[in-house]
Amino acid sequence: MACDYCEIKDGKIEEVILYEDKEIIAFVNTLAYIPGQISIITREHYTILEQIPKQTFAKMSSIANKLAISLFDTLGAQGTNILIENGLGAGQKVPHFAMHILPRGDKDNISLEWKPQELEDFDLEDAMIQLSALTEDLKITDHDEKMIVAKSEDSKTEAVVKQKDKGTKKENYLIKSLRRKP
Amino acid sequence: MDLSQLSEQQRKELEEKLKNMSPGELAELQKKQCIFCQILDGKIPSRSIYEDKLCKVVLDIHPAAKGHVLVIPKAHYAIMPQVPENELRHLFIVAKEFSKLLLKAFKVDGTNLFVANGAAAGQRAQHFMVHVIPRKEGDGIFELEQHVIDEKIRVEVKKKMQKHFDQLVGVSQDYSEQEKLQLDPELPVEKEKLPDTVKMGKEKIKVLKGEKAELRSKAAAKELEEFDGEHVEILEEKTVKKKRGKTTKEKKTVKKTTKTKVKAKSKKSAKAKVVAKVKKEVKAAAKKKIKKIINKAEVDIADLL
Repeated sequence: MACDYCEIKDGKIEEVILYEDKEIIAFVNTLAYIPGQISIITREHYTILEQIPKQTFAKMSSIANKLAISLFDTLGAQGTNILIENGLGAGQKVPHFAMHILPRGDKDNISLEWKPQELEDFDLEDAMIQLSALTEDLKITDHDEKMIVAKSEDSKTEAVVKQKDKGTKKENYLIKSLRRKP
Repeated sequence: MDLSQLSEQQRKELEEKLKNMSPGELAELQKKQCIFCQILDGKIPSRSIYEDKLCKVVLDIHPAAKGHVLVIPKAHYAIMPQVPENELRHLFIVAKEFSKLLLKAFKVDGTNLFVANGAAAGQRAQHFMVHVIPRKEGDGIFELEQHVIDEKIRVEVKKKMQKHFDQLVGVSQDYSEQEKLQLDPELPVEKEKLPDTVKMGKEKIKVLKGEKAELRSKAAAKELEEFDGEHVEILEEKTVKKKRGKTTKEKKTVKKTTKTKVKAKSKKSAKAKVVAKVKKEVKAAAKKKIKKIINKAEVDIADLL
């Protein structure tokens, strides 16, 4: 399948990649709402959010946070938006899941505000009932938290992954050479 | 409290008050002022759908669409950079789950996850939150125009951000240079960073040159450098002692053998032996260290997987 983002991950725009590891890539996007927009994509071709493993998504969010901080500090953005368009109906342009980080200024020409809908109490109550029915057996609990904490505590591991990722050849060679001479 | 309605004097008094407050008191004040903290405390009624230790999910009072929910952290953070990493990850995972639920419950065409940091980005409340908005085609929310961004601008953005971002992620600048070397072995190696000679007594001996060339990963190179620094001194002492010992022995042998050629040879071979021994020791110790690093990395990676 021809996919714009899959081309990127195959290394066609090395010079605008800010971060990559074995799961995700962050790069300065070509087709963007605002100059300086950064997008984070998965290496694997996932079309929508629901297909992405939890931990990969969690990592995307933490990288997005750091990119947002960096946009504040280095490009002088006065604000940042994180926008995920999940599904073509939600404005997704490329059929490959992406998380966009938009640097914002006071006088940029884009608007990310919405007109609040005047919903009746009845509608809200209805939405409430529908969602509550689904959340009854929802478990986003301790198990996840522990995993998350354990992972986030050691940010160095990510660097190690990055290193391993690119240096596979070298290290394999090293391991081999070590085995050869006991 | 509306700040614009305050008189000049009242404003000054307020400023004075704020200055004298302790961080704890300030946080308390912020919490009192924040609508969402009051929602979380139950002081303002809300339609809560989900709650756990770190966050609460409520229906938005001014929704963009039916089913618009907010994932709100229980602690007060004004913007995303203040949120601790583990909490942030949790919030986004919860948001992801709710995206799934919204798709199921309202049979919509898609969802938006949305975060605004700062007034310029459209943030209205001083409390960080993640919006999850169910979308239908043509509902007119987030109508944005895409532009093609010039290559120059993009490269410029990357250049400006890379160093700062690397620091945030915990990847140092020399590290990425090491990495470049890995990617392209033909790039020139900076001699300062990878010394290939080590002083040993009066002589400069090439130690571990081949090994070092192989060890371009930062961790290993760094360890090796430290290791060299520590041990070269000890090795130096040893070699000096050995040399002295050998020279006395040599003198004895010289007495026995009168041929000068043999004397020279034995001197050379003794020296070579010492050098070889030192090399061996250094190499063996280095290998141990490398093995440790690799094992550690493998364990880390195994954990991650």
